[in-house]
Amino acid sequence: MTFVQWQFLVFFAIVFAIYWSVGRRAQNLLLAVASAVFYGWVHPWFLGLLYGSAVLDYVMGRLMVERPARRRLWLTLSLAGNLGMLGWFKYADFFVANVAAALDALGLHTSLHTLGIFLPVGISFYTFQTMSYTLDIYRGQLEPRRNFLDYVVFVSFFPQLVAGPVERASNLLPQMERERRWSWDQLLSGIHLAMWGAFKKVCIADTIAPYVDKIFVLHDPSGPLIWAGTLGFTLQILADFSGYTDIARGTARMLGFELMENFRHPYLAANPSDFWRRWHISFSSWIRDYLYIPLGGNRGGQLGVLRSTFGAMTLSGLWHGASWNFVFWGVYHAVLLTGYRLVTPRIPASVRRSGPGRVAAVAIMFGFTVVGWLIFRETHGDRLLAAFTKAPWAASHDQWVATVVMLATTAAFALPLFVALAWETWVTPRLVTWRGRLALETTLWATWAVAMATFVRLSTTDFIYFQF
Amino acid sequence: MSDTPFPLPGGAVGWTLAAALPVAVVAGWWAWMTRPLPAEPSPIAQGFARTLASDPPRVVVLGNSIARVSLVAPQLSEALGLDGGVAKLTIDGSNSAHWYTILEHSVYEAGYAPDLVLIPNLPAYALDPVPHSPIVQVRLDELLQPGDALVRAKVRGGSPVPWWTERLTARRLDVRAFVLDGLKAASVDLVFGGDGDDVRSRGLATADPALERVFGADGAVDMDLHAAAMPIVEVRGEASTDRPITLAGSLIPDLVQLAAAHGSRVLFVRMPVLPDPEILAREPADAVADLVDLLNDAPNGGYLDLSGLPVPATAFNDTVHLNDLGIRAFMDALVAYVDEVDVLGDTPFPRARPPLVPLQVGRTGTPPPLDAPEVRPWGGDGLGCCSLAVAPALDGLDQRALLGRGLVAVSPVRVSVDGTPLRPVDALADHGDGCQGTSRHPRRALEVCPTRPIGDGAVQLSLDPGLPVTLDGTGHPSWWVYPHTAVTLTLPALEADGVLRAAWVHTAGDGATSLTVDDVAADVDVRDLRRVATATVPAGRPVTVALSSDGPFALLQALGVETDGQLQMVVGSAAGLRGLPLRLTTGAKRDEHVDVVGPALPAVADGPLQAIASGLVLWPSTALGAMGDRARTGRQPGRACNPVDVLEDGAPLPGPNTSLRDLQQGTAGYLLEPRGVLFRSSDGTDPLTNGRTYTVRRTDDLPTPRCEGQHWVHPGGTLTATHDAVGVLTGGADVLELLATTWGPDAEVHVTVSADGAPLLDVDVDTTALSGGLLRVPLQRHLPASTSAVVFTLTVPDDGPSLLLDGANLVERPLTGEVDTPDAVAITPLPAPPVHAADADATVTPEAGGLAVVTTTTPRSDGACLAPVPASGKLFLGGRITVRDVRPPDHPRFGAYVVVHWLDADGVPLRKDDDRPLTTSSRLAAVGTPVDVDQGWRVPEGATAAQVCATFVGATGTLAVAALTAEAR
Repeated sequence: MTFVQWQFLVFFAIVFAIYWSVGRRAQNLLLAVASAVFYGWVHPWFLGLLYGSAVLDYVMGRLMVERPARRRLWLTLSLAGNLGMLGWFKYADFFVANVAAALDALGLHTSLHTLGIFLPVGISFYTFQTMSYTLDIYRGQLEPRRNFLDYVVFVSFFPQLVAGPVERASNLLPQMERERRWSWDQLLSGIHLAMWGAFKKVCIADTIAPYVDKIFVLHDPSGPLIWAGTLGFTLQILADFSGYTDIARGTARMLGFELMENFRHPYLAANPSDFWRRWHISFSSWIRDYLYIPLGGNRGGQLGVLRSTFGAMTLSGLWHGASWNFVFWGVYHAVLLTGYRLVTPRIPASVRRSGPGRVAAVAIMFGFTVVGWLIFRETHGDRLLAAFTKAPWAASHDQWVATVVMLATTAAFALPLFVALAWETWVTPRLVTWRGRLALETTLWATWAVAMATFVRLSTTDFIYFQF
Repeated sequence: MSDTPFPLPGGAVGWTLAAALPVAVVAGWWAWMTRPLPAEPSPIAQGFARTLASDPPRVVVLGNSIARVSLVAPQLSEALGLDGGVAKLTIDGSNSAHWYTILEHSVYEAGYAPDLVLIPNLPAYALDPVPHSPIVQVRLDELLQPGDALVRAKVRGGSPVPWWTERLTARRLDVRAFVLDGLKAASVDLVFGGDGDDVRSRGLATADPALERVFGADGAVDMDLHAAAMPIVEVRGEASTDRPITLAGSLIPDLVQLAAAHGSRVLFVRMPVLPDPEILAREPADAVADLVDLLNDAPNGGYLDLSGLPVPATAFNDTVHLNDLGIRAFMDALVAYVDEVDVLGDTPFPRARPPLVPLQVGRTGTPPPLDAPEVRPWGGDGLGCCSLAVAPALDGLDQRALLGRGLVAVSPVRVSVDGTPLRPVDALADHGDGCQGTSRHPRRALEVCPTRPIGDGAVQLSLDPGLPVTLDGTGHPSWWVYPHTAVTLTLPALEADGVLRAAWVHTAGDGATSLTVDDVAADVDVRDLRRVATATVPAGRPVTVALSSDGPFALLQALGVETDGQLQMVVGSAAGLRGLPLRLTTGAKRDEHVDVVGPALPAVADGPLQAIASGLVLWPSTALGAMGDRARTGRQPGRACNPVDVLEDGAPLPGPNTSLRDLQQGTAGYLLEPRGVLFRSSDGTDPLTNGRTYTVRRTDDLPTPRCEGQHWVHPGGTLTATHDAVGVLTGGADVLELLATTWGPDAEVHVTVSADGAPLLDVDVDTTALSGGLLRVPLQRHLPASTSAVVFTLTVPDDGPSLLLDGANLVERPLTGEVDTPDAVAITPLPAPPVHAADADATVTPEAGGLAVVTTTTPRSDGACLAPVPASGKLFLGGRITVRDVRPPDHPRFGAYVVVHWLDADGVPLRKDDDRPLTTSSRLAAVGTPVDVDQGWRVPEGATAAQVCATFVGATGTLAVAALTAEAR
């Protein structure tokens, strides 16, 4: 089940109705059951992995306090278990394929075959979430929980289970453990957030996606077309990911929970460091807190920073997918971060802080981000290399036509995001106390709803009608 | 949008607006999106509208080309006592999906209220709603209107969707296309400009072709990436064609209901067909029974089964379409029905009789065990664990052999390996990786694919005991009768005495078969390998029908009971009671070769060239014009093919059959019309003044598709048709059918038929006999089913007419009760076969039809011999001999033989070292049934001639020699 299926609407309506008519304990029980239904909807055996990870970390957490002498062992077991599970399901085939390729390259022919392991959805998210629990306990920043139900709800909370945000136990667990109070404000803002997220996902991301896909399956796209497609992907990935997160936050808010913000206008970042404070915030902060800093962080001189940066970003890239292009993407961002640290001191602060300077910084960073997305999107190394070696201005007339169409469509579908930004910046503050705002909002929701009903892609029918 | 909390309305107005405005938005969207969709009537629908408007019908005829060709509206109209009032609303290739749509939209919604909806067609087309070609699908799409959810659902194979779903879907796609195409057009127009009236048309005119070249060109897309990135989807409108055909899945029940709701009756007329394997394989027997039940039970339904109409094979242009002869027979039958039944009134239609379902079926007896086959590796691109298994005793049971004889059946041979049965499959792909435990019998060698390589494993063959035999429930149900077994069917009690008709074919092995009804032998008409039986079936009690074999494998093709003129089938269809003709010149799908050799005759004009319009000229000749494009041959109006070339200074003009409109608009070419040849020069200059010479000549060199199997033979010309592999003639052939038209003076055309070099017919036919319609000429000798080459010739004398040959077929002797045809012309019988008595003990008696009966009373007589023939290389012997009254019977060695005496250059018989005569012999084992002699021997060293004799060795009896030829090659 996904957030943009009608089944989820029915599911959530039922959960919502029952949720607010019972007490906290019953609410948590309901959430645990609902989360199991949500996650196990397509593949019930996924629940085994989820609860297995949860039980492991619950026990390890308890042991870290009850048998502190071996805290390191319990943490190791927790990390090994979670990373092992993640490694098996996500990276085993990648590993086998690369070993076989390497041996082949050395003339050692093997009969190694990939296993075709099925990747359980959300495993990258909840393993990191449960690891943050044991890591925080290990660091003494969190007390292990006795109430297994509350803990299970924290691990399996359906709004954020499959696509984040990667919640910290210190943020979400306490919310599980206290009473949730009904609030109209909470409900309406939650609806707003969820509807906006759904609109971004359905109307923007899913509309742009086939255009991008068509460009990236061409045998020999021209340079301009590749970059136009990459721009389209830039829009697609933001709309898709931030949309999904907004739906998660909106539904959680309707249930009285506040999940952490995950995207804060990332394409307005002025530098790489700023970018990672705006993009997938929950994940980047996890990487910072549990990987970058333990690797040394900013300590250890330039080499130390280099090691920490590259280590953290490489693994960040790898987290996104079992493919070398993701690794390269991580390394690319490590290079950007390193480069930023080296170059920035050489730019006068007055320039950096000036209006034009800031605009230029945002534009340059956007350009770097787009380049990164090309690395992220193109999974074939040879095609990636070809994309970078092609002149970005050389194309036949037909390819230029396709480029123009792609750019125009991207620009048009990016417009709602600009409008939203402008609205948020200049209009919303003026409507804070306006009593008529609810009517405006509900009308807006209805407009988003009919737009979604018009633009939603119903797989078969819509794909066949797609003409570039 | 931020997370800033917002205030709630303070009063009722605020809350009301907060609730009402979104509702208004959604309601407005819904209303706009689900408003009725515009519908543009298709050209076909417009045509129907004009037809109906010109003559409001009391009878509407729905169907495809079968209905269009077969039903003669004026004749039906007259039979019904109407003045017009019969509207044919047919679409070639259509099925019940089209017919329902036509009835709904073109007839009832347009305000017409016919009394009768007549559907003359085949159940296979009526019950399968899926269009089977893109063109037919397009025709349906053009007819369908928004909201035709029922038809779309049935074509798709699902349930009808709510009306609003269809409109929403259509509008959603329109809106998206509008937005996205608008973006595309505007951006491209802005950057590149273009030609067009507005931004959208300009932009799209530039964008679409460019995008098609970028994304749609061959090889543009990496299909591996595509498959990974984008789902594989079905093209809209193409439903699966693999689902079974059922009544409920068709539009027929809905059509009947629709008609009833508008006060119309429905009469389905099942049409006759030829037993083409492809047609027969599509017959959905269960669904037909359901159809009959539906129409019997519906107050407004009627079913008339004319599938058993006794029309000869030459009444068909192809397997499903009747020609003029067949159309006359069909219309006579239909008129007879409407004379008897008040089809336009309120009297219920007579109940039709559905197919008879046997109370019991079974096999008795035990077939002989099958020898273990020879197992060979599957060479070349062998498949997985597969091997080949060959068993000569099973020749004739494989799919290829069966199909080659026009038999629709599955092989009955089953394979086991080490006791583990393999699953029989139909297609090569069904073997999968070749280790799936499957077997297949497509050709002589069986494909044996156990789950692991056979190695030393034992391959066992057996016969499927099922009845009928299928391939694990799929494939055409095949009623096999095995050697020394019988198939029994217990038929339910009939309401009235009936006549049982059955047809079966010997496919492999020697021996005899017989059919009994309650142990009483039926009259069996033996036609080579085909047997046709009739027997009386009494009413009032169940009867047991048994088909038994004392030797051969037999395939029961059809079995039905005719009662009160209605034929109810038990096995197969009525078409299976007919024999398939051998089409010598038309419609043959394999091994047909027709040559016409003759002079290109100059034609003589009636007068000088006449100017018709600027550059368009008439070469007048009413004699030629009678043979022209628009000439009515009386057979198939408009089907005449143009036998004329027009030469401009010796070079042929484009043509023939350039359309009149093209000629009028300046295209070079020519057309033969009743006045003569209308033509335009190659460069448009006026033929009257451009100084060139124009010659018109008759020619036979014509593109075949234009002539649709017809052939011109002009004076001095000879048509030769050769045909290999005549296996479809399981009954052999005894009659030549000719259908032709002539233009010019009457004369005698010379017709010959020979088979494997032996003459079967050699006659002169007066063209006046041809002008009377179908001419049936008995062959002077039987053409056996084992014939491997047939040659037909037709020669027109120099002073004769131009002859347009519609068709020449070889057919079995006619069934009784077939349509009367003009008497055959008197023919001059051929001399008796060149067989003479070799000794005083043998008597050779010529009999009618060219038989020579050899009777010998002395064992070891030389019997009857052909004159010696030169022999070198190989000697081939052909013929047909029936052995009777052998004494002693059933002796393992003594009996009838064909003996070849090898002679030296002086005509003296060669001898072996032990001084015995050097002979080669072949025993004629079968007694009582004709034996095809088809032998070849290497000529021994020293022999220069051979004398072939048919004789008895150690026995006495009678040899009826229908043919005996010897030829050295």
